[in-house]
Amino acid sequence: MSAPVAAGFEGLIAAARAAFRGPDGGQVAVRTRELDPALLAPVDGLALVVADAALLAAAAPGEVVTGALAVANGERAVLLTTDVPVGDRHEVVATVVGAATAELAAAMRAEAAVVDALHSIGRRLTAQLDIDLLVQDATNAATTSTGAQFGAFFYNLINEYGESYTLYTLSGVPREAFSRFPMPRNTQVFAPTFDGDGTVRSEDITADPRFGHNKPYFGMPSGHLPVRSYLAVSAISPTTGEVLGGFFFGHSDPGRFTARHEYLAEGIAGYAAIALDNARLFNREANMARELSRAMLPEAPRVPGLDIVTRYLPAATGGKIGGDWFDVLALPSGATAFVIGDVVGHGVAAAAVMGQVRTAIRSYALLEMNPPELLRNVSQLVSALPEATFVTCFYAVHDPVAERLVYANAGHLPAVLVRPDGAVEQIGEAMAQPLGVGREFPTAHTGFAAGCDLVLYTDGLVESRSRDLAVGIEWLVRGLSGVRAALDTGTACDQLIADLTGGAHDDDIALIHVHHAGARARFHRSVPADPDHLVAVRLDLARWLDGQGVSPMLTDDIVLAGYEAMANSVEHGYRDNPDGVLDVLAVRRGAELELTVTDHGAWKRPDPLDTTRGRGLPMIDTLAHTSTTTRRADGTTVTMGWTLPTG
Amino acid sequence: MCGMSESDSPMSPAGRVESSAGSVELVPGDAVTVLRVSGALDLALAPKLQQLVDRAERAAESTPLVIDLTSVDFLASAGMSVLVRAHQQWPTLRVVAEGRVVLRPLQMTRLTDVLDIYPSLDAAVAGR
Repeated sequence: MSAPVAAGFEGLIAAARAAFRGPDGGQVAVRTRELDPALLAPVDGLALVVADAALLAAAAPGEVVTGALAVANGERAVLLTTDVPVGDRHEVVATVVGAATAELAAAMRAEAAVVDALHSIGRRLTAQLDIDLLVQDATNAATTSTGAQFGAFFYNLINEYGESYTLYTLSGVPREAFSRFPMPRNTQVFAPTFDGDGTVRSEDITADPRFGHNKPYFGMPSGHLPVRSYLAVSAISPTTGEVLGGFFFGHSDPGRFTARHEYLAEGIAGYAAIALDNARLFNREANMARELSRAMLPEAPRVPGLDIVTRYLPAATGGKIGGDWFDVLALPSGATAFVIGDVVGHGVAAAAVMGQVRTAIRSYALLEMNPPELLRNVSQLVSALPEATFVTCFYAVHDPVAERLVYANAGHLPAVLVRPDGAVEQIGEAMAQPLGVGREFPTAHTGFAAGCDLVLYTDGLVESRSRDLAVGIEWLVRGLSGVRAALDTGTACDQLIADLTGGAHDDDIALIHVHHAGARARFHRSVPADPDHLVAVRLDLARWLDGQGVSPMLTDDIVLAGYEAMANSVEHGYRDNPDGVLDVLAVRRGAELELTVTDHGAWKRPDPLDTTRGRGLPMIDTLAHTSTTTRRADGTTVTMGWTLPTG
Repeated sequence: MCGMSESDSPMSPAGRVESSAGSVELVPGDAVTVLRVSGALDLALAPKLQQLVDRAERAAESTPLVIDLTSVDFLASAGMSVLVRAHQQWPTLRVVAEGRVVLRPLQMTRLTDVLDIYPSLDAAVAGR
């Protein structure tokens, strides 16, 4: 039985001291002294070295030294010397210890690197909520760390109907290398991984008794990358214990994967499972908020004389979904109420508050409550909600008889009003505090007649991380002239939103655009494309033009041009489709009149040799001041324009 | 419906066809055969007018044919195509056209240069 060896620095000093032996093999007297560690070359961990002449000259000047060793650990150093004759035993011991500790230090370094790598991968993965990015990152990191030629991660997701489906990512090989193969099945080789029964590591999977038992390939499909070394690790949800997926690594040489690779792969799989869990929970919450918001958003009713465009875009990035809403209500009195608002907060909780507030406002509005009274009542409701929150809301009612807009604003952004001459003003700025806070909601009114536009919006449209709110509003105001000039307000609003947000918005956006077109500035018929139905459209269009004050001669021209466009659709667009439908739309904006005839059929080009036909389009060109024919994949639109004489 | 029954009895010289907004009446005569068109000569009436033109050709190919558009209140290119085809079938075709509603489309398509146009039925019958 040997005496217990003291561990660490002191132990090594004791061992070194015992290594100094005289010619008779007996221990000799050894002097120890502390050294400045800077005198020694940097060491990994614990080191025992033979002290050279330079060290002795610095640490023991002028002394007689017959043998010297130094023990160091980076922080501390001790010199051992003797001045009696000694053999070389102490130097042999130092060499042996040096070799042993160098190996140990290398192993420790490698271990530290593994821990470092795992730690940084783990931090990165668990901070990622985008599933696509996260699985790819995990696959790349694990493939690199295990030294695999390629790696794959097969993972299960749940779709909106609650059904599970499997996707995969690859690292080290292009996707085409696997795209021809079916998804791996629950064969004997794969089952432990997909069942969560533990890691499979094989020096040579082709020699594994589990390999090659299944039809149709009995092994790897031909063309599959050659795999000898095989490592497969399950990713298991820490919350539910469910197997979320499996990591697979391969190498064409046998014996490539070590226990350390296995450890690393398991570590990364563990982090990937946590990250996938997080991402799935986050997506579930975001989807729920998005669906709640969508489900509660209304279709704007058709209001004679008003062109109303509404938009709701849930936040495209981040978790700020839920809370914005709009409403357009046809009131019993014939007036129209416009509501836009924003619940402070996000997610399912905000969407739920939004649903209650929206319903309350609807109910009070349909009771014809005036704006101050309505907002006061809703504010009381909001302040009584169990969760402390507040809500901004702009409420405006258009009275079509007085052509007047009555409005109140509970802490929401101002609305934008565009006058018929194009003059723009913001209305309702800083009128009152938000719902849940404010008690009094003063009202204001302004004229709102034919030619006016009203725009209500939420902050997601004008505010962004990179732009000040005031600048955003200025951009919005400037962009509205483009919306006004456009004949298709819906498309123009989409364009405006895209311009203002740069296509990426990290908050919800709600928008109401109202154009007061006047009761008769629009004519629309959707009719079966047959000759008999065209008669009524022609006569109705003539009457509508007459009502617009268009002269009888110009009416004849417009009706004839429109009829030729319709006749073309019937004869060409729908020659094989007797059930086709034609849309005839006439819109008047000031002195500009536009008539469009749209079909959803495939036109045949007229036979140029048939001189009896083919007069329709030339007639349209002559009759209309401007005309274009747009052939789409799903039909044709003829657009004709006239400038009406003024005065 | 009328068009169908008329074409079922091609020997009958007289006839009348109609659409939802117009009609054509075939008036046989010793000197000339007249097709009197009323209302809208549009996509609906044009094929029916073509039927009567074909019938008149078979029944009285030696006498001149007059297509009288005096009572037409709407003339579409589909109707003008029938006029052009009738003119090709029957070079002595005379067309009665007056008023902006009928003359403007004919002028616009330069058919006034091709067709033999008269301001009244009397003038057309007289051939001057």
